[in-house]
Amino acid sequence: MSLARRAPRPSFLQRFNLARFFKGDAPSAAPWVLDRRNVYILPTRQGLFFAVTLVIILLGAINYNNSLGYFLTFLLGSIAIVGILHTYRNLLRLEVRLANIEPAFAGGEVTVPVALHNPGTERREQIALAFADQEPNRCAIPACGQCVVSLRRPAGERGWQPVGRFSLASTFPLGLFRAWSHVVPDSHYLVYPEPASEARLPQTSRYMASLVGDQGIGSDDFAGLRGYRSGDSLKHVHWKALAREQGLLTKQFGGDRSERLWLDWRMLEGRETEARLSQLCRWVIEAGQQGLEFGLWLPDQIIEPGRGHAHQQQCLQALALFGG
Amino acid sequence: MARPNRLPLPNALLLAGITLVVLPHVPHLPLWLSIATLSVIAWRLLHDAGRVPLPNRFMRILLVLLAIAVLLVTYRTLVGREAGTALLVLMLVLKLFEMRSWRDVTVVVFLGFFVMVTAFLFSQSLLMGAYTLVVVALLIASLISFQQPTRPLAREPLLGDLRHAVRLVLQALPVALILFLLFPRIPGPLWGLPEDAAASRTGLSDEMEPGRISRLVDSNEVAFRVQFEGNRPAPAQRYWRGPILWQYDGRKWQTEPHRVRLPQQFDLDFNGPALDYQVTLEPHNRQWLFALEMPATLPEQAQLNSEYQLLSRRRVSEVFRYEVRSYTDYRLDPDILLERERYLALPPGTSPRTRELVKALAAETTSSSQLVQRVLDYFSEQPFYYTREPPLLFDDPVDEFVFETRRGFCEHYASAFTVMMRQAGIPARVVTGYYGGEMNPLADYMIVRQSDAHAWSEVWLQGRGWVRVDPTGVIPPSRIEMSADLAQREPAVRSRLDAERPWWLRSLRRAGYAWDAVNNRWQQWVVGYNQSRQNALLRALGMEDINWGKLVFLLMVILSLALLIIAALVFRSGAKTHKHVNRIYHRFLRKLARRGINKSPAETPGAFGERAVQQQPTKSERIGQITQTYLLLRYADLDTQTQRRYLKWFARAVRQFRPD
Repeated sequence: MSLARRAPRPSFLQRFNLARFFKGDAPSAAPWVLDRRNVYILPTRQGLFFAVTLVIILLGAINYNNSLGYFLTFLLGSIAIVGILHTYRNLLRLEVRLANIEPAFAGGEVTVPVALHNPGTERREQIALAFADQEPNRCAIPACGQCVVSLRRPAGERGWQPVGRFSLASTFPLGLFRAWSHVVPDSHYLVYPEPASEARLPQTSRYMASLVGDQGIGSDDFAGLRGYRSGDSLKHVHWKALAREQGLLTKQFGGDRSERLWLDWRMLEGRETEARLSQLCRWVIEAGQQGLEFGLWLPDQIIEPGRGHAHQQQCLQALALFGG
Repeated sequence: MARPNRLPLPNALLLAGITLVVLPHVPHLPLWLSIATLSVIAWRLLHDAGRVPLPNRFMRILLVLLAIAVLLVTYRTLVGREAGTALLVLMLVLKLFEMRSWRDVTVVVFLGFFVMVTAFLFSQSLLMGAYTLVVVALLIASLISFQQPTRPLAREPLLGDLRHAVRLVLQALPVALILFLLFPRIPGPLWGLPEDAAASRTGLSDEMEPGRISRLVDSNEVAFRVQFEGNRPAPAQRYWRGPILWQYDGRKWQTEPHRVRLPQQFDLDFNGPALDYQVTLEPHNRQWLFALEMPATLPEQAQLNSEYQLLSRRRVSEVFRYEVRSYTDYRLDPDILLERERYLALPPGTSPRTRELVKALAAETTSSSQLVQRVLDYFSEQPFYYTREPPLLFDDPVDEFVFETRRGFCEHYASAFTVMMRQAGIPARVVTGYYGGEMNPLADYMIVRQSDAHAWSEVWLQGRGWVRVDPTGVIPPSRIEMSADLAQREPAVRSRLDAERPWWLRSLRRAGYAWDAVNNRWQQWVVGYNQSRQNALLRALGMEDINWGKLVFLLMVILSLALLIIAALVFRSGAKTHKHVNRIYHRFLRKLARRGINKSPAETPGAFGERAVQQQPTKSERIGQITQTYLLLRYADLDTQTQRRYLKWFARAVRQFRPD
């Protein structure tokens, strides 16, 4: 268990910088450990209301010289004070890390999975995590346990985006005090362009089919069987046929028969850069969904045709970072 | 922070707490309000169970108006102790009808605390203090349970919340105690107390009408407790002087508003040993204080009236403690009697038959003191009876009592005797107060109860001054109806009665004394804790001349220390537990290493355990258990209690582990 702390101890002035109170520290690397320096606590509206109640009870006790009245006031006040410690403890020493953030599309939402680790032997109740102005997500973390909370926020603009500040807060157990801490990670996530609404793929007249056609030398689709020749890969031997005593047969594969699609920047002549990227983004998604083999042509980058998730991600990333 | 605007559960904890808050008020609330209160709680419970809807807005407003109207009809006011409490209770339960959000819940809980405080205006007993702790724990638990609004209702989490609340209360108690002891006490009141501020209690009154009430209510309630320093008065000397009644209208005895006199205006001699004692008076909402006849010193905050009665400057609305010195051997005003007419006044034509009797008796005697003795003899010779249930008297109470019924208690005798003295021209007055008091054998103080209330007479004799005469005392025991308290106050009678009691009744009595001793402590240290007690405590701790600033400073220092300790408890590091677990596990490894079974750093505890089992087959079970427990303690999600239990077992198992 690495209890890595941020190495340089902040100076006195840095510690009493009021901006930290509202915004948190400058972005820093994981893990973030909540400690006395970055957990704040203030009464909630209910807490203030409670204080007023106590003052009224105390005045009554003084007026009537009522000892049990005094005692109840002090007991309730002490419970609130001890409650501060409990609320504070709920956040103290929590370790926060970010899991991998999946890229998002502009105009959509990004999901930030926050992993919380509780090193203590007491359960942490009712931790509310939230980006500024977002609805909080609540979770409880068992003793010595973990919990992952997926925070969502608007993805923002195309390109690399900082994760931004989120806060952890707790009013448990009494709701009279709210302890909170800001976490400002130095991580970024990738935002792809917003996909255009036009989903129709470009005309196939521009696509480049293989001139040679299927020659049975591809490797993707099963194309049939032929007699075994020496030098064929053992992997391609049709063992089941051998078992049925049909002789040694080799499985043949082809793949070049399928269509190849070029998604080309130049096809979208006359549109804005962002609109072009947006359209290309939509096409990449469509082509990926249809399982087509496609390449991407951009003024600064050409991605050779390919297929599969990784290829699609590569294309989308190229679009996201275009011109950047 | 948004919260769901509907309560997710029938909140058993909150409603139980509110019920407990209201319960102490039931005895003094009007019956309709008690019933209405409990019905609203039941209604809310049924609603939470999904049975009935809550009243709509219109209905709620109607209910509030109706209830306030009925309150006004009942009390004719909405302020003061009784009406104010009733209004608060009403607001609290009606709020249950519109409890929908977390904020409403807090309003209900805080109102609940308010209503709880008002209960202290009626009783500050030890039981009430304990009860308060229970109520606070319940209400705090319901606050906690509302912090987890999305959780389904289940018994287990509710119990967990209760446990959590109890832990909070226990951690808060020492802090509360420090605040209670050291928070600067400001002597109240800050504003005027309503007339009914303190509980009205059984006790003495400023008028006495013999024959009016035929049944004296026996109350075992404590009137006051007395702590003697040194000497104690003999049982026959235990006359506690209270209100003096001198105005007679033919039926009842009264006193005028007190005329205050300064101590030096009395002609007073003392002889014999002094008695020093401290009285802790239960609140009776009157001004009078009680002292053994005769008080020689004036307590703080007290004055004397012209009848030599001690009076507090304010109504005794809370426990009042004062120190007095008395001498049982005294002479009061022996030479000159001021306002002689006052103590001879009788309405014209009072008790003509008695007047004849007094004239006849006076003819047989030559002096006032002889006449006093002659009248007392008359009471003891004639068939007068002492009873707590005398017949009613109608026209002339004294004539009827002396010649017809001849059955009565102290009031009848004192009244008849005083009238007879005045008819004979001897200045006389009725003194009320308490007679007796029993020592608590388990703690060194005297208990004087309301049932010890007594009335006697004082006559003024030339050269001797005011002399106490207790005409009730001359009734021979044979004519005292048994079980009468007066008889029990006589030591001889009491010891005989005690001997007749079965053992369990005697132990019950002992338990009663123990309980009173505890109650006395409670009264002294909790209910009666005030500025002077606070100063006394600080002086006992070696702090002289306390002022406000010093007190606040001391409070802050001690409070901070206490909070630091509690914070250390609350923030107790979990990592420490892990270190502890690891240390024990290493001890286990060392024990095995001595047998040449070494764990390589790359080996997991599980794998090592398996290897160790192969080399120590006879200990396989133990090794497996220890390894398993170690893994659980390190990596499993255990709650605190289970963790503690496992840790204990783990430590013991490793300590007892002996490899072959």
